[in-house]
Amino acid sequence: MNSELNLLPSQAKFQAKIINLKKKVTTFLWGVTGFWLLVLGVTFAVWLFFRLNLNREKDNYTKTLAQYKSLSDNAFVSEKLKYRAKLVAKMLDERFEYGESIKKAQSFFSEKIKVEGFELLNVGDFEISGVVAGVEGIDEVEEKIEKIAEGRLEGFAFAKMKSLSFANNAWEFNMELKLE
Amino acid sequence: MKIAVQLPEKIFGLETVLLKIFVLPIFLLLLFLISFFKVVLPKFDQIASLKRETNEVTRKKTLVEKKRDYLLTVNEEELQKKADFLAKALLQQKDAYTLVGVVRKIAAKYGFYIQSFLVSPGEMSGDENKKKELEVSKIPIAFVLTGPKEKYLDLMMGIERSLPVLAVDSFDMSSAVSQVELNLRVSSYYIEEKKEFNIVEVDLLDLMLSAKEEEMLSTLSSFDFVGREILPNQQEKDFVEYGREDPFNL
Repeated sequence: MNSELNLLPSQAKFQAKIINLKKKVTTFLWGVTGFWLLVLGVTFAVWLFFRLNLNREKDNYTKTLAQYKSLSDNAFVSEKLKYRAKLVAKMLDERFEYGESIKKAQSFFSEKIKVEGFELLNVGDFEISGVVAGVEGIDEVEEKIEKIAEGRLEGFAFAKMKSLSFANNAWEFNMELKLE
Repeated sequence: MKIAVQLPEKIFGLETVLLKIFVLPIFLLLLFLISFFKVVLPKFDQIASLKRETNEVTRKKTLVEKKRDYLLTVNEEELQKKADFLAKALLQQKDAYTLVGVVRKIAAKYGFYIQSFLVSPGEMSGDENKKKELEVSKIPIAFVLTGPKEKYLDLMMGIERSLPVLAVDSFDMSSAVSQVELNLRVSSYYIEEKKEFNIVEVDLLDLMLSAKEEEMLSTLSSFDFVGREILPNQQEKDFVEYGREDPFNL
């Protein structure tokens, strides 16, 4: 004897399946719709947040700008001052100071050495001729030329003895001196 | 009046009842897709755009705040003093004869006089870095100066330590026994001020003096002012014609 009795006809079984399926579909739809509404809500909330944030920043910017514009006179004077300062600084940087350089070249030697001729060949380039009595004097000249060649004398780029002669118990020299 | 639609039992081999169950989900799916592309995606773009705009506004606000804060710390009186002082460092008028007058005064201090001078009209030029607000002109003049030999170095130092700031572009010297003749090309600058000033666009660095520029101002304060004072708001007097009647026709 069969223990399981199939009491429902096939059509009824089919109806039961339909109802079951409907329930599942309905539950699924509720779930998906709920999720979708959440997504829409969150998207809108984020958008609103950034919108309000922007409006607030714009307000702050407008207030700050108004405060800054109230200082326009000072800003104008500052800008003028800065531009002039830049221009004058540029002038001072670019100009060659003949007076300073001549003074520096003339003070190259100590009082032992008598500078007789002094000529500006080019910008920062001098020809110096002088007379010195005694070996110590000419030693000083040669020592200074050597120091410049070794880069040990600040402010001077180049020095060269062009001529050296001994006459009337004195050394006569002619040299070229270039400033940095 | 209800219109009853009689559907067949099966459509494309599928039970009509089953198909009816999926009508609503399919409809909702379409609705979701449409709302995603029409509402959600554009909102994302708008959010990104709002974020960018907010960052830009914040950046501008920060710059303006820095400028405002700097200007609040500035002593107005001190600022005006520096501006007036620096105005002396440049020629007060765009006029070659102003420069001649300056050099003449300096030369006279050291016993020199101007033997001759030459202004080349084509050489008074505008600076290539012309700014909208401030127009710069360079004024060069060639001078021949004569004076005592022992004072020429003092004269050169005097020129280099005077206001307005002068640049000696070339130097040539020929000397006799006690006199020396100097051929100098001296130039200075003049700035013509314009009234327009874009306060919003100006950079903070264009408002502040650097440490080097402050030091330069301090160095310039030891220079001698030789130029002519132009007081603020000084206006040129109008030419006044004095009428004289012809005495022969009275």
